[in-house]
Amino acid sequence: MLIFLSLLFLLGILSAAPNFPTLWGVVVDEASLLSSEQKQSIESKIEAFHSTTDAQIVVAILKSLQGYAIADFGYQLGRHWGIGSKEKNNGVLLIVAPKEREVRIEVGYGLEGVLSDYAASRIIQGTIIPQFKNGDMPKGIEAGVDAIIKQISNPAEATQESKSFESDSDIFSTFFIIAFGSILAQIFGFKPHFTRPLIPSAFVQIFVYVVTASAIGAVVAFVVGYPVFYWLMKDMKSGGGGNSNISGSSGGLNSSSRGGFGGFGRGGGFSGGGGGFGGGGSSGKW
Amino acid sequence: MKQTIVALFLAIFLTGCINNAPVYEEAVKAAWAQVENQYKRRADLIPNLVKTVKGYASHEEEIFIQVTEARAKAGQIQLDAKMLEDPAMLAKFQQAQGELSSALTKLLAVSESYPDLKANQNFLALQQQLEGTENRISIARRDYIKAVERYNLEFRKIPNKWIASLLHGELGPKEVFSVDEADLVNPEVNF
Repeated sequence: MLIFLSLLFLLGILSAAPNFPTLWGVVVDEASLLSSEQKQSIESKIEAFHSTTDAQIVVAILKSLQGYAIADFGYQLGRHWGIGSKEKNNGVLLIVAPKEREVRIEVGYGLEGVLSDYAASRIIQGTIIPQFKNGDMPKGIEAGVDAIIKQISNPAEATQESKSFESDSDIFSTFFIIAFGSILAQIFGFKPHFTRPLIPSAFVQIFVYVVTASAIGAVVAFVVGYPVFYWLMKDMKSGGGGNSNISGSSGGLNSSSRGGFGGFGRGGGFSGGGGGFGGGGSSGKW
Repeated sequence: MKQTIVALFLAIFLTGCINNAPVYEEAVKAAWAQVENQYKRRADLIPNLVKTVKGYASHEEEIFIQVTEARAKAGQIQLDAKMLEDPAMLAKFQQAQGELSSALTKLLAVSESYPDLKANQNFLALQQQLEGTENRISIARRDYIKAVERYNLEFRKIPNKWIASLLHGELGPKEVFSVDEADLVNPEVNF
């Protein structure tokens, strides 16, 4: 378990992407641009909107674009945070980079129908940038959020496109390694009453993953299943002594891509729904 | 008993863990479909764009013909999954789309000289859609390249490549775009 989690952590570090800010809430203000009243005002508008739909809006005010073009940074940030629901990809990101004086509305696949590139550019040029040029960035951001909410709440049908290129087979294969490792442990004579529950736990874990396609669910199933099976099986007779080490997974995991996890629980109670982004939206400079 | 469990798990392990070629191939096909989708989106914007520009710059016949012909030529080249393994086909596809990109850049450059055109709402909308589409094309290409790299890796890793040739002999490594700078000419829009 621990090896699995630490490998995932390592894969995150090794991928060559920008340093993304943490998704603490619906307004992520790395540059400390907004006062806490201004931030709360925008947050409550967005949260009120979120209570009516599974679409997600997030405002990201970045310290720096780290040398990336804002359109390049935008879709990667959207994918990293997974804004919008996984099925509908209905996320919108309002990205403000005060240092580079660039702003972008990044639109998820599923909202491209209601928030077209032209509509996004009208919001940027007509609503947001005039306020920025006046020197009132918080007002511009709030006005932009209002305009986005208004545009998305348009009752016209959004075009539904669901894309998912991330293969989950690397996560799947990790579970197999853990299951396989537990068999090896038995063969090599680790104390059976610790290793025996690993097998049915692994089965349950794989079953839950296949049925729900949720890596989190599968991990939970393993964590819950292990003590249950341990208790159920502890009175079974068996031979073999040996050390009382619990087996971990065997080595040799050489997957080179990251798994497509959506929201691991972060502080603040907001996480992305796993939505995808393909480059829709519009940018502006001031 | 132990041996059968081992054998069973070995079998599941092998098929589940390193039999990825077909899964990755599906991802490549999906990524390619998205690339073609976005190129088509661009092609679909062009008739309206040409018509709008013609309304203000009717004597620029040469560039209109160039764009229309480039669009027709690009539309004729459709690649299915099998052809993705053929570098010549992919190069042809890339070249045709590249010629369309150049023609579009010229069209937009010409439009710069017509202030009334640049103020036209329809033209502005089309410019934005075009810019957004070029962005989508570029991202779809990157996604495709990543999907192909992951797929191709299966044919180089051991024991994955043995399993792949054993169970999926008909599959082979696929081609990637050569990301040529001239190809990625985005018609720049300056306000």
